[in-house]
Amino acid sequence: MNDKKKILVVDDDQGMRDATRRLLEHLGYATMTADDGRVEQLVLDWQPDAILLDIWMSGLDGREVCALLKGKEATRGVPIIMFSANSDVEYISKESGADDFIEKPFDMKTLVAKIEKHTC
Amino acid sequence: MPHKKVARSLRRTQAPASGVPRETVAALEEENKRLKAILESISDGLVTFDPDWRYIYVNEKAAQMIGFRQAESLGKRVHDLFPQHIQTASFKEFQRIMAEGKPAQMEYYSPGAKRWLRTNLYPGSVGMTSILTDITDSKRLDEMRDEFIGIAAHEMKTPVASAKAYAQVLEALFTGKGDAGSLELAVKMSEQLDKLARLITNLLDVSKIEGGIMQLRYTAFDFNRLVTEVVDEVRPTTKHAIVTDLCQPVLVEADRDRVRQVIMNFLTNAIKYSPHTTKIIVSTEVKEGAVACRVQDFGIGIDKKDQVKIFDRFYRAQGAAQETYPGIGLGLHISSAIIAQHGGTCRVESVKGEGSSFSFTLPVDRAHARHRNAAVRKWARPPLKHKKSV
Repeated sequence: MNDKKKILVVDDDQGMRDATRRLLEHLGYATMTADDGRVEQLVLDWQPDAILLDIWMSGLDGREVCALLKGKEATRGVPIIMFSANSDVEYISKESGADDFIEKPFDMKTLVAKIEKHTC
Repeated sequence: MPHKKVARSLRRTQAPASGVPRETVAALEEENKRLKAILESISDGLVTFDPDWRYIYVNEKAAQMIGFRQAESLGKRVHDLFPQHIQTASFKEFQRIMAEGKPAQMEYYSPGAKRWLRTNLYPGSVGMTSILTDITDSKRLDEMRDEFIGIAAHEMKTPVASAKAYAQVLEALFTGKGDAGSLELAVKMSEQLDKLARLITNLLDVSKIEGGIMQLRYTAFDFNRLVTEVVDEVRPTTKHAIVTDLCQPVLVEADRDRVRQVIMNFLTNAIKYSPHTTKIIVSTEVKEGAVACRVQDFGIGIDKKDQVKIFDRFYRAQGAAQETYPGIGLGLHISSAIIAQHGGTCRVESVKGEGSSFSFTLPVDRAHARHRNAAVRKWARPPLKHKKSV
């Protein structure tokens, strides 16, 4: 069986989504990506170990996605790390009930440290 | 008959009860009307309270701004008309200004009228007069500008962030292949992208500062914990030994993210400008109602004549041999503006060739900060909720 940790990357920017996916896969994680916030069913089906969630997205905003997933028993336990180029990412992540945050552009070591902290 | 004429004339010119000549009363009434017409004609609101917070005078414009009827307010106390406002920060500020007896300016949101108001307050022997200006439209413009800057920063940083992630993929691939030459290039590319991201953030911060639209989001937090967080974040990225000497835990009320930005700026500068030494000391202390954070390095130092300019926009330090250091000289300017907006101060002490010590203070008591900075303070408001258009 594949014991790679599963990371769901939710970002509406194609470049960011692709680059983060390649980076995580190179680091040994299994990834899935989504280009908007309608991910509830995907989270239920795929059961990721953590979600990297962008904030400013067309359609469902990252804050709303976070509130939705943290508000439901079945998805509450999945760690959410908000990642954004918005300099208010720390404040927004705390206000939304996310588990952690990382500001874009991010350093690979910081990203891994945050993922490991919440998935060990 | 002449007696009767005199008597009639006297009755016409005298107010029977007060004994004040009728002409005088009429003249006073006329003067009163004229003054009232003048006060009613101005486009600003005007309110006068007595020392017991009773409305002595309210012009129609002020009544509209505050959200009540002019006739209903006269003679009534603020406490009776707006009992819900007595405990608000803005009313407490009004009370402080009346008690201190010094003119002041403040901005506040009137929940009754749902308007942003700027008031110039003039305490005096009769109580206090407030001249009100409706600044709701300019606040909306500020919000739009703030939102635009936020979106611009986001949109400029996003492709940089993608490129940085790709550069890191390349770094990992070249490391795996043992290709040192290509790895060096990928690392350099990654570093340049970091610089570009910092530059974007700094330029947008400066435009917020210059436009007077940098908003602070006050929360209470343990100051030393924040300092430790920043030091822990920086330690793995430098060869410098960062020694901490922190005081007892101290709670401050400030914008945590912005204060973090200042500590990070001082610390990264200390590293950058001490390329030939390896020790940095970060210390904190509480003194005279303020907490101070000091970052000391033993690097190139700054000439006495240049120290006064160090917090200016675009100022850059130079080494002994005129060597230059990367950056465009915005970090300290931004830090200084952030601290000033909190009601604190930034300082530098330095000896050329021996090192520098940068410090800042933050008032522990936020009311103190509010008092010192009342004239320019922007009241905290919730962050703008932005969504991209679909």
